[in-house]
Amino acid sequence: MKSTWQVTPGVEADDRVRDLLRDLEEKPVSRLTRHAAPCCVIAEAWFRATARSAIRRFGDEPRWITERWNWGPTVWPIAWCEAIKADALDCGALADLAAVAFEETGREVMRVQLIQDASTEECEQWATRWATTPAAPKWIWGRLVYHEKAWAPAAGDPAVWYPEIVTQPRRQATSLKALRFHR
Amino acid sequence: MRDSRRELWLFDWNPRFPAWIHGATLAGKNLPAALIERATGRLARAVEPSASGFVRIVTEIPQRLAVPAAPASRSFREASGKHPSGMPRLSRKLRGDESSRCIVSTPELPDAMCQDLLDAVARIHSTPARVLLTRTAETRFERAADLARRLPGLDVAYSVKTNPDAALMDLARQRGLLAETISDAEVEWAIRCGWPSDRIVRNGPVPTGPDRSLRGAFANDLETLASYLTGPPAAIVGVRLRPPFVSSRFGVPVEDPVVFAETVQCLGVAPAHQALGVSFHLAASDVGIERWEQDATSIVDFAATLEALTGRSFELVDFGGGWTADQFDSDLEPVLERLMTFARDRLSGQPRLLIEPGKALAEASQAVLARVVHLRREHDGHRIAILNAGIGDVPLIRDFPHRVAVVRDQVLTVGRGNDVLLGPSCMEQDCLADDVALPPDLAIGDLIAICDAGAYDASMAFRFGRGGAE
Repeated sequence: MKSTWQVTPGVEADDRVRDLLRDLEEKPVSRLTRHAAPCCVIAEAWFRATARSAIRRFGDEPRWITERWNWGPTVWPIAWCEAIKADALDCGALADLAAVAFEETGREVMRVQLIQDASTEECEQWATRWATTPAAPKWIWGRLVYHEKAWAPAAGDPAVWYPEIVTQPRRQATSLKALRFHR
Repeated sequence: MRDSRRELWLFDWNPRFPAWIHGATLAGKNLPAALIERATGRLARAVEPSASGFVRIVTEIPQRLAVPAAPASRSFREASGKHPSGMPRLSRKLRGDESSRCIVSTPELPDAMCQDLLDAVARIHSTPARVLLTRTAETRFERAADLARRLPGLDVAYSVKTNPDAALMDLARQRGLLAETISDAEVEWAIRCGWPSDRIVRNGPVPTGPDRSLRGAFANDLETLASYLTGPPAAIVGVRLRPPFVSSRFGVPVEDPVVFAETVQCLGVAPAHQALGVSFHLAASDVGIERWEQDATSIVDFAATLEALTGRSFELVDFGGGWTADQFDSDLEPVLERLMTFARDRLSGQPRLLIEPGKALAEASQAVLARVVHLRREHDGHRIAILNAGIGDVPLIRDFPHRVAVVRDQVLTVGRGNDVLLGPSCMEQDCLADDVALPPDLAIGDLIAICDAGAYDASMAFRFGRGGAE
């Protein structure tokens, strides 16, 4: 179940944002696919077991995901058995992995789609990097970027965002324009 | 910097966090968090200090470009996740708690150990001599047997590699312990010491041959596992699993999804009649009992995952050894109870559990007796006593605390002080202790007991500086 786009106050009049939200109205959150074969069953079982090990060792936040996978372009659809062997994954794939890891903590997990404003320099750098994989989905429109996260609010503290866990922190875009939740 | 005229000059200013940032955090001062807190107003999570201070040690080693450098210690690389420094290990040593071998004040020897030493002195004909402390050894091995009695479903094996001394082997066998071995030579030794093959477990990185009729044989890698499943050396064939986030040369790394899938495939085609097991080894003396339990639990979890994916069940889970005597006596039983409950809940076959203590049983069971052969006093008043036993007799003397005593008509425990005990060789590192308080009347010819020398101090002892005579 998805919510409506929640636009940051003051941004409602921004035509760029309004047009982009209309274009992305039907865009679902990214989900890893599964082959009709044991490969993806094994891959997902491995991931969940590793996630549980990480929870025992390091706590609920699945930071091990960003330590294991680099952030980079992903060609969709991508299956579980392909994703776990990839060197780099985009924010959607990382968010899906993070959501599954959060499931192992027993917490309620939500997926979040965001529209953010980034600097010209950041967008140019990202676009150059993503140009090496032309089949990767578009996520940059001028200075507006599409982003995905997983969110598992701690009991009693639902307003607290988890720290950025699905992309490299130093590349985090700076200004939130709109967001939408998926349960 | 102060110049020659005693005038102070600021000559460098680095507005950045220094390299010792992790050490500061271990001491309870998380500087990056403090900065963020100051800048944002968000309260930082409190840091539980694990040390009151720290020392940063940097070693500069000259390199020969054409010669490979010695590999960095794996224990340093995995010390704390991404942090490559050894600071957490150092911090645990300084903290002096149960989770590490720490440098602490020498405790008084128990009465039984004192009596053991007096009895041993009466038996020896020369020094240095490694002696069995009979009552102490019997108590240690009885504890292991008692643990197995209190926890139905648990087997206990003696780790032969720790110290294969015949007297210790006899104590283990008489108390119904299995024998845990890491080589064919150890298997043969265990058989000669009276164990039947079906009471022997075989581990180790070198495979054994088929048809050995052993209790269990655990493969260190998938090639060996495949070989064992073809020609089983034991009633139970198993595989050693390396938990995620552990750096080691041993075990199948389940952290690698490709290797994990290969493990599934290998176990999935195992003969239907073959009993299977998994093993796990991580020294709690290095990582602490809490971390040990986390990783042991993860191995049971991975075993359950393998069961679900292969349709097979495990009949034996081997948790290895590696506890200090304190951990074995005080911490292990409730941990094992939790692991047994978790294994019963998650694993389909209701497996037996196996532990393989070595140093927990053997370490206190032997001591090295030596005589003072030379004494001198330094200009600052501290004394240096040279013994006729040295680092070759207790090669791990610097790795963990060894209790030291002077044995006369009674046993006098040696406490902390400024005196030094040296070995007799010309090796710079032949220093047995540099922080002891020797009795004021210590004399040449006095007997010194270096206790806690019955584990790897015995099995790794080497002969040096004593000529070619046996």
